[in-house]
Amino acid sequence: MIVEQVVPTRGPLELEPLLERLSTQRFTPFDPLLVEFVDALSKALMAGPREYPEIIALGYWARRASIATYQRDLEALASERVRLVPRGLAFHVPPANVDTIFMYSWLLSLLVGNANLIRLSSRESPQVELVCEKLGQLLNEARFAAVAASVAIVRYGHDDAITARISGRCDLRVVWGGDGTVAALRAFPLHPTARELSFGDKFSFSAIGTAAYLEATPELQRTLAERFFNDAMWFDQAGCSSPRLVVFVGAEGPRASRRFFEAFEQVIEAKQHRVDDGHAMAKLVFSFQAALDGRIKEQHRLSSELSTLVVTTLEDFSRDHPGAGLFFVAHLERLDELVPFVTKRDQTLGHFGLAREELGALVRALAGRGVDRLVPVGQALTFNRYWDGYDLLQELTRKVYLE
Amino acid sequence: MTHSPAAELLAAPPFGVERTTKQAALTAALRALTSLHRAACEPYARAVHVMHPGGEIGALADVPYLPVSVFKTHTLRSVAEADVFKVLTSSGTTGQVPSRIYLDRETATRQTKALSTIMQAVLGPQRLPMIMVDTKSVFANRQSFSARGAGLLGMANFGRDHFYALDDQMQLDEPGLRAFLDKYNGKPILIFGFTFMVWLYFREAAARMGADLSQATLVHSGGWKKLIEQAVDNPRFKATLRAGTGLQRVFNFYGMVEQVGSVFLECEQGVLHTPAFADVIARDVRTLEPVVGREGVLQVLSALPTSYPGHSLLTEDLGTVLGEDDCACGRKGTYFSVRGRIARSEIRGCSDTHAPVRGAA
Repeated sequence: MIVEQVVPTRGPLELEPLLERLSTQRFTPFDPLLVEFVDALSKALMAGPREYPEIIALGYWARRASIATYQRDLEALASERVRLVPRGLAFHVPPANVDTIFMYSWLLSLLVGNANLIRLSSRESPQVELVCEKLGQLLNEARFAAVAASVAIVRYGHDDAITARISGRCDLRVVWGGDGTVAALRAFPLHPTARELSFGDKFSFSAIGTAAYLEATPELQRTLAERFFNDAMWFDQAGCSSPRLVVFVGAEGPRASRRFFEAFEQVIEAKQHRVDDGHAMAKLVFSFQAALDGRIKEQHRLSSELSTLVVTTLEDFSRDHPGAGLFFVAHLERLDELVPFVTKRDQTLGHFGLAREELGALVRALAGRGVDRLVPVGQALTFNRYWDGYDLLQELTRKVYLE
Repeated sequence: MTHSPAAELLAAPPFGVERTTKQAALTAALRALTSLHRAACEPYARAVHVMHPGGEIGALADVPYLPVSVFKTHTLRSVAEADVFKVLTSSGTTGQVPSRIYLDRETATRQTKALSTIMQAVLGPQRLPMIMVDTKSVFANRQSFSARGAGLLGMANFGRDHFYALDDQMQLDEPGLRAFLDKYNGKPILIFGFTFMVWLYFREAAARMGADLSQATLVHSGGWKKLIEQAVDNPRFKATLRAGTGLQRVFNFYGMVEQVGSVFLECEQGVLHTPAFADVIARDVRTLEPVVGREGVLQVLSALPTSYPGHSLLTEDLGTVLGEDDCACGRKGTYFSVRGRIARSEIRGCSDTHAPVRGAA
């Protein structure tokens, strides 16, 4: 069985020797060489080019200070009697088209000492190529030879035998992507001691307190629009954490909503963000379909880039969404009206102008029905160790009891 | 019985009504059709209410439109189920959901009449011996009326002594074609086929067997997608046929199953013409405002459909409105060109990883 290796070197490779190589290589968590490597990668990513803000953000996340925090957090999980060790070989199946999200989970996996085999989608994207190029350069430096031995980024066609072989051999399988992918991979048994982290289809939304929003200065409203732009538009609204619905909570919802999206449209214009014609048309068709169904009572097309659809009710809300700048809008009197709406698919709630107690009460009332993260607007895509209900630092390591 | 509000336009010569008369009559007809469908088709009424609020129809550009693809996802009918006489489905490519178009007798009859008015304007009143560049097996399943089958049957009316030139394997029936050509040696004949079928299965084989088609008129339709992939455009299509078989009179037409009968026929100048009872608007892809003289997404308007709300449709085709009433060919009406589909690009997203993780290598 042959796979096409992309990183650390390019070229076809026999699978068995590759698995052998990856299985023998071990580090202790936050080994100084790993920290040095991630620091060097961070600098390389932040060096640009600027056209991919999500890659700059990845570089920023991986900077030394942030890695030090993760190291302290991991150490806090250990104790005199509980030691944390790597799981072994992690097999990552990243999503086909969100180019950088998967990088976070595998960098964490690398930092805690695992060996990592990443299967890229066969589709190439400039973002992925750029990241792979920078990774390849670093890993080919002599000082990182030991790191290079513990990492492989590969591509291969639809070959069940290869997927089965890697699945049977790895200690941890990390599957990003749609429910379909997760289900398809479940068909390949893991070794009895191995486990899986799966990130299925997700839906995310934002909640805006109308009183605070309408009282905010125009400057703050503009800043908020810029933050919301980052949440929604970096991945053309197709990331699992990208908001697709904005809920306005409180009195004067329609006025707050109008001002919110006008400010947002100005940011879109200022940044010269463009949606291509195919997506613009797909959004228009989607809007007509929702109108034919009677699911929306108003449509506002602010531009080719931005449309809003005001829903009649959140009851039986369909989470289908075309991406690329379309927002459902709902008006609620109180935040807890969200409780019957939320499902397991709901991941991130971006909030503005809502009291911490209100948000805490929502989490209590939801009691695990859904919503894995509640973060201020602007941080929807900011990765941290808590994701989709997992604590990744715990999931990526094993606990050894020592008495 | 539903009368089309456009009876007057349907009775007029299809390429003989000048601008002011046509615009006024067609706007009135489409305004009446919009009211009719709003009253008779609830989803349509909802869509117009939400997507075209306000809605005074003062000019053609004000007529609310539906994207043509909603006929794939929604059942849109303005007559009772019992009055549905025929359901047309688009053939579509494998795996795609077909459009479903509900016709009552009146709409179907009106479509047939409209098509014949247009064709006669080009072919004359005489029915010519006719070659169909297709296979008879298209009609094998009478239950599901594919657009291809419907298109062939619709066109068959304009000829006689039909000869189906392809077998089930899409091979040219050479002896059959030779016999047909010998029989009508030197006399005018009519050929109809879908553009890609003519190009892929007929052109080369006919040229190879030395068929003389210099007395023939070819009418073809069905889109250029497969041909553009092979870098074949309309001029090359015509030039190749002329060089190979002597075929001189070639007419493309633009139409769709969602507006059968309302076809836009290519003239001697190589541009497409709207008949009196139909029109075309190009809209800027970004602003959706009407544009003339530059490319936009095409909206097609037709006074024909009363049984389903398809009188104003936004297509996914890009084209350019070139002018009105002043084409060098002498025909009245809007004339335009079509370039192809809006490019469909894939969106990035967390979901949908390597779609078929399992499956054949």
